[in-house]
Amino acid sequence: MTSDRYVFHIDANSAFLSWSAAYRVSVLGEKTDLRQIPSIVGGDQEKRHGIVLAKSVPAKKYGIQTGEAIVTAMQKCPGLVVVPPDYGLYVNASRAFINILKQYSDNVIQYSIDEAWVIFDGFESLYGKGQMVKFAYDLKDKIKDELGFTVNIGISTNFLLSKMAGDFSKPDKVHTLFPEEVEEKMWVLPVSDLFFVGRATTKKLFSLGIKTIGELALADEQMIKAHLKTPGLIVQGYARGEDLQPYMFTHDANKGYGNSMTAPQDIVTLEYAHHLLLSLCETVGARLRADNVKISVIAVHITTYEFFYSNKQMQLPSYTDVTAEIYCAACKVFAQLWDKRTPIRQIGVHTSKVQTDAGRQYNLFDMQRYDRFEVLDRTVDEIRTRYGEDSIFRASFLQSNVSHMSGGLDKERRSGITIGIDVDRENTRII
Amino acid sequence: MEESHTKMGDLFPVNIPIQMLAITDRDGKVTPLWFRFETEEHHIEKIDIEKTISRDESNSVGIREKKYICSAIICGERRLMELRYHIENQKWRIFQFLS
Repeated sequence: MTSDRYVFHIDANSAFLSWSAAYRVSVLGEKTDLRQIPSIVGGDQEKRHGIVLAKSVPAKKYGIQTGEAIVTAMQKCPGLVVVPPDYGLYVNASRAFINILKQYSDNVIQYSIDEAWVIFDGFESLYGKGQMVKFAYDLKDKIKDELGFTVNIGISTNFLLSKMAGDFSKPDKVHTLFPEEVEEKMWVLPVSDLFFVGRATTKKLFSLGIKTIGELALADEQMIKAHLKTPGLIVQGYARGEDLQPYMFTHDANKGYGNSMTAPQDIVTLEYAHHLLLSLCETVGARLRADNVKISVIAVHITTYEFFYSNKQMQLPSYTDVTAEIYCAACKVFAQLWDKRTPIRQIGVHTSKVQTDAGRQYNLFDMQRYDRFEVLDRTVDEIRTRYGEDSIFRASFLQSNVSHMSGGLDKERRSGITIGIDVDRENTRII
Repeated sequence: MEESHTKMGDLFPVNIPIQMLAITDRDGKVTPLWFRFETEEHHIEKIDIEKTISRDESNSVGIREKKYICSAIICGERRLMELRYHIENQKWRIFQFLS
């Protein structure tokens, strides 16, 4: 690494909200700017996806948090403006945002829909020594002028520190966090602010008496390892300003395939539960076959209307990717899991023990129709790829209030975000 | 002034697609000539554009649009308006009345 290499972390401020707001102001010509009033982007309450997806700065002052129910947010702030998400717009905005970054550097690493790292190597000879902060301000203002929304830029010499710098204070700001500034700027922050430290890790660190990032950095390695194993040493490395591991940017093979859904209405009958399980198994099965893998453990989990979570799993006699077989097993597991009385809010199917090129162990007592099911499933998959997902589905879903393939992203979101990011990933460098 | 602006907004809907006749020069410069649209009473209203005063482009939230400030005589009065052309879906609309 030369001293001339800078890493910028660029992150759109409350992305979904400011994109919706900018669209309403500069494209639709509306007079009120959602960013200036208490407002949120909220999921569909009728589909019971009614949570806060993004909030404006004035809404934050009422204590509204991303992820909480819209109903509780409305109680905190009665005049709250709720707008629906527009995923097509967000993908557009995200692309335009990344394209501006690509005008300056070929090393753009998109991390999510609204944030990216950009490596500026040798730019000091272009803009002058010590001018990178000025350059960051210009870049931030260019994005604001051209696209109509604000970003935060964190400047450093590695990925982790630039990301930490970008989160210092918002919105519309530029921060630096060079290795020599770590002690002064990062160590004073609470340990929960550190990248990759979630609620569970925070709790463990608190019980060890570690409250700030600095305390974690200076803690005894052996003690951290004894309590938190290897992940503990990794976050301790982050606290000391070490860079993110390259594996952060690669995708491991899936350890399991699962899908879950919040039912449009609480599940109270076995028929309806089976119906939803079938819909989820369709999705899981299709994903397994698309990745050419088979599984041999099936788990079902439910969350009751009172938000109690429980799950159960079973081992199959052989590896499979057949939808019918997965569904059959899921129903058996579900029968053991549910008391047939408590209304269920959320239901999910998860499969694990993934194997590639697994053969089938035939069972003496099976009906031995699996080979034919396999052919059938593959044919259905092919029809769906060629003519669309809804071109063929089971008749039981004709009058249904759920999609014949549930779980994962909503249709409207799938067509947008995932495609948008995948396309960009092809062009971005994997380090 | 403010009053007539709101009156104008009532009479002529903004943000609905309009049918546009425009001329594209050899250098790619676009000049709107006239446009028409259907009013709430289902009349076809045709507006002749007198002059195109300025042209601009925007890429707000990644939506590429061409912006035209034009003047036209509407009900015997000269009006300034901003017309917009959405590059991706190729639709024209009245964005706002400026006077």
